[in-house]
Amino acid sequence: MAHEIYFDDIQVGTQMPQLVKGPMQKLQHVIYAGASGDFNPLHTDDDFAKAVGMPTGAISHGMLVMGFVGQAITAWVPKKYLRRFGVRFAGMTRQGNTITITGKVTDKKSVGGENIITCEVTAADETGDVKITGSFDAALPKRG
Amino acid sequence: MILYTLFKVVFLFPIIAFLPVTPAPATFLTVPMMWSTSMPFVITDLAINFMMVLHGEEEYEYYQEIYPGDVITATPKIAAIEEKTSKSGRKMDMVTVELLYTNQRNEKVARARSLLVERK
Repeated sequence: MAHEIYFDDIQVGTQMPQLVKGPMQKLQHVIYAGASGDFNPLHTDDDFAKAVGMPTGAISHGMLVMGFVGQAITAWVPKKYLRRFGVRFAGMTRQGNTITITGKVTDKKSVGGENIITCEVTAADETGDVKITGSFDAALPKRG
Repeated sequence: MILYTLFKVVFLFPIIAFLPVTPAPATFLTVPMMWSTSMPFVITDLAINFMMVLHGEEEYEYYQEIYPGDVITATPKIAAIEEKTSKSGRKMDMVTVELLYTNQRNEKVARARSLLVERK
């Protein structure tokens, strides 16, 4: 985490290092419920989840999967450089899913004295089903 | 668009870190939001059935780092409420909640924007 990343070395199309998480287990949902404070039984109780229309039972917290994406981002770009990070929850993450997070730089520009990169990020399961699409902006230092 | 300002809620983080310089991770602000009383206010005041809520979108803007010992105050606001119909014909309420987070020096720390989807 203590590495440096420079604006000069990032190009449009540069890939973010991939991160793989999972397979998802209900135990992790329970742990995340306790850590985050989100105790909606949709994430921890299969019978409840089925009763509210989730045929495969309890689904992962969206914020747990966004947390994975945040982990992937900040393993590459130090958190202190992050300016914006937004996602859309495109699909439900189910128990047994293995989540792969990928990203690609889509823009780089200098605005207001800051050197900003914009990067698209995606989280998808082992079948390619997309769980999260999103993007982030980060202000990076320049060499010299 | 409905503007609706809720109570200010103060959160105290009794966090023990290995290093005093360890900042909070990127999605940490979900923790004070969920552990506080601010979400229950939103849910009860808007008569939302929490059991039918899905999280549609989440976005953070970061102004500075959060460190152990910081006292964070959130000011939540309902920015928008829209009714939509899903592809399958199901009615949904789309509620956008914005939270501005400030620290003990009254400096802006971050802004969060959440889209909650209540399935009818």
